[in-house]
Amino acid sequence: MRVNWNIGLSLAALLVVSTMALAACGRSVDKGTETGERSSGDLTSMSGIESGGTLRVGFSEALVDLDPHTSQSLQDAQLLENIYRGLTRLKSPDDPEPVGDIAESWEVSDDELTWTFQLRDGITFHDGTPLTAADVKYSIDRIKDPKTVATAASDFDPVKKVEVVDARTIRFELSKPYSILPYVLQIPAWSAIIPKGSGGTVGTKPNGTGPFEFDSQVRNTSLSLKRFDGYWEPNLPRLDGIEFIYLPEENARINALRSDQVDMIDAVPLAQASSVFSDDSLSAIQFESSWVDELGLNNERKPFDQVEVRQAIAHAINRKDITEVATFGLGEPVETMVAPPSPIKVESDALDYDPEKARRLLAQAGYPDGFDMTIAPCGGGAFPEMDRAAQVIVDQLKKVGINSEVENLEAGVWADKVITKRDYDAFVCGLINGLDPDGHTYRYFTTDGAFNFSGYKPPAKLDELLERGREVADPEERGRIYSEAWDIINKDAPWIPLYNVPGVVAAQPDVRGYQPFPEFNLRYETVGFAGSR
Amino acid sequence: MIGLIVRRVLGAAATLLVLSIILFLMIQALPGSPATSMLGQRATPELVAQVNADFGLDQPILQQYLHWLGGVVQGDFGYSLATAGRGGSLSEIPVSEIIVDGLKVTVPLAFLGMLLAVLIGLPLGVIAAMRRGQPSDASLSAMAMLGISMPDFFIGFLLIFVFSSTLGLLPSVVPADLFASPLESLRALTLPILSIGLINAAAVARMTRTSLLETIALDYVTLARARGAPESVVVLKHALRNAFVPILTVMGLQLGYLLGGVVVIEQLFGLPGLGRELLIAVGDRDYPTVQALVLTMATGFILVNLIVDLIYIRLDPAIKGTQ
Repeated sequence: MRVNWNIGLSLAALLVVSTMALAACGRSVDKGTETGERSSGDLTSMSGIESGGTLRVGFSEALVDLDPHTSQSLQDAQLLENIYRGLTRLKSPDDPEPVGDIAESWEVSDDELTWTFQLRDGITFHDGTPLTAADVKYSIDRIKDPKTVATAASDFDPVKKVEVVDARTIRFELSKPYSILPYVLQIPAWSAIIPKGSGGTVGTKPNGTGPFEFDSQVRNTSLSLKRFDGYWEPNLPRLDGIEFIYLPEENARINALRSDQVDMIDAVPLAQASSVFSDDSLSAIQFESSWVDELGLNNERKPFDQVEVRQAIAHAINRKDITEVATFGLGEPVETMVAPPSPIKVESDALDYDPEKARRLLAQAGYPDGFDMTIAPCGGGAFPEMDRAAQVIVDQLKKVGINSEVENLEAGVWADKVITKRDYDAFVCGLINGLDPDGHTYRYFTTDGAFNFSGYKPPAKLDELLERGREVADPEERGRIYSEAWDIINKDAPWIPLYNVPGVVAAQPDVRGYQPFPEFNLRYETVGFAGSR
Repeated sequence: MIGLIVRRVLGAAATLLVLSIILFLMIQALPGSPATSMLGQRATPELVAQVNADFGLDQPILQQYLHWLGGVVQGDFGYSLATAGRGGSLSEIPVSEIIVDGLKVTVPLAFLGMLLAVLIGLPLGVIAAMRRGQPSDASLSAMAMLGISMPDFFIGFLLIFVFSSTLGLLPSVVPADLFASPLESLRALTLPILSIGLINAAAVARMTRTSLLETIALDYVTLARARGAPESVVVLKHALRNAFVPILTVMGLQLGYLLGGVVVIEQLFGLPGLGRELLIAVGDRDYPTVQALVLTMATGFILVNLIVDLIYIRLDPAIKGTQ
């Protein structure tokens, strides 16, 4: 009997083509209409959680550096926060104020130059050694040591000296008042407390006080953590272990969740957010985050050295439209770089959308026919929101006579051009870490700011305000200070704040206890499964 | 034979040496440096200079190259800059470890992928040649064309969509330790191997068909047919053995290319093979790792082609014999 090849092969061809068509249809992208917070399922519920089980997390980036002080990326810090903790931590997503973690309590001297912390009893590192004040001193000194190249080094500039008073007491002596010290001490991973003398081994043999200890890792593939039985908080952690599987490719990540190969994914691409929420077989949560994107200008280069030109650009852009496109309608436009969920209320208005005024300002500055420029989104393609925003900005600038072009650079090349060599016109980038207004302001806009790579020359009044902002403790006064500061910054427009990006996390329906912190902290001690796994 | 092998090995060594020099210069010519990749938004000029000095990158290029070459001659490929000691922390990973880990994934993947390609492509190519001109041949040729034109990424994604997302039959996530449970690993590697196999099957099928048709047209085959040999014997015994030479060449080239690591497939399935490691290393400007990875891939390519040439020589007497 002869097999009829013709029909067989034609059918095969048909199958291939129709599968291709299905694949294309199955991925229709809805434009989101929900901004702010929403959730489906019980991902954040704290009730009905059983002890045990191993959570498999599809994670967006591979761990680069196990050393908490030198780890550079947000993703590294997220992973390491389960292994290492610091003196303080944020209380909860709804109340993100620093409370004690390793420290039990603290007090400030009257002149505000001395902070004394009482350490909690009974805290041990993963290898069993008890934690003492000497470990704290060692850790802070290591962060401040220029040879370490620690990520949080500049945050500890006002700390002059750290002194061991006794095994349970440690004293910080400051060169000037620094009200945000407890906030700085909670920075995940980068302000971690490690055992005294462990600087040489912490990159290969992690040893912290966090709820999970390091089990094993396969470079660029996965990271395994297991429960630390000696963790100081009672009844926590709930999970036996966590398995982080690196899936940098967005579709692979979503697919792994949908096919139950992972229990949770940390970063749902915004384009897929709607489909994840309408999927009844998954739990999901969307939350307001501290992530704000901006359009930055090179203040040291013509024509951006003229304030009229910067203001013109600010008036030329319509941030509502940019937000709609960049975040698929899920984010919100912002008026300042201060994180919207910040406990300190900062009010200031960015320059409004007024293309007529933009043209007038350009003419006034001597550019009636506009000029050419390039805009470089950062991240090397890792942040599609910024790439989309840049495209919209190009269109909007064209309408006032400015011809701009998007320049796509690799992440390292972007850093080289923009930060190291300052050889750029404009960029689109974002800030995440920094719920406190100081975090998104001081370093970038003061004369001596460690990362003032736009070359902005602030008026003396602004330097003064931002110094006072990190000295004063009263939240209301700080709100007034930063509002006034941002009035100045918005008028000078060295950067133009654009929009806030929400966080979206999705998981299997039996995952509970997730805390959606605005700075994307991944604290897994409360996470567990409803029903045994 | 021995003389040939010795000559080829010496030639390979010379090629690799020249390649290493070109690579060394090219990588450092790329904009950015390990420091800027590492520091990102913190890449102030002072920090960048400090970190690059720590890595010995402020020394003259010739000195750096000779230092590297000296190490290689003793079997030391240096340490990965992406995780090199910072702040006194000994998180250095030797480059050789990265290479070995990458080979453990890419070599099985390449060989199994190629095996599948041959198992599918060779018979299909033979059938297409035997039914030359008929509709079945046209369909097969069209599908082969489709296979060759489709990008790896697309086939991989398609397979994930069908077998993993929709049917839930096969995993798309690969277990961390491939050698811990070989059976589980094989199941997890099915989709990547299938992706590679299907695309390369198309190339093998086309080459088989073309080469076979050319051989069949030759006089000695017509003679065999005239002598009354059945068609299958004509094709399989007489024509195929001789047509095999160019097919083997294509297979060798494909395998050599695959040993370079199918970057796209590895990235899609999260497989820590040579290709993916290279992608990461270039992004990090991890000079010693990039250098060693590319040289490893080049060595693999040279080795495979050397073997193909040796097999070619063994087949040669068979050709001489029948003519």
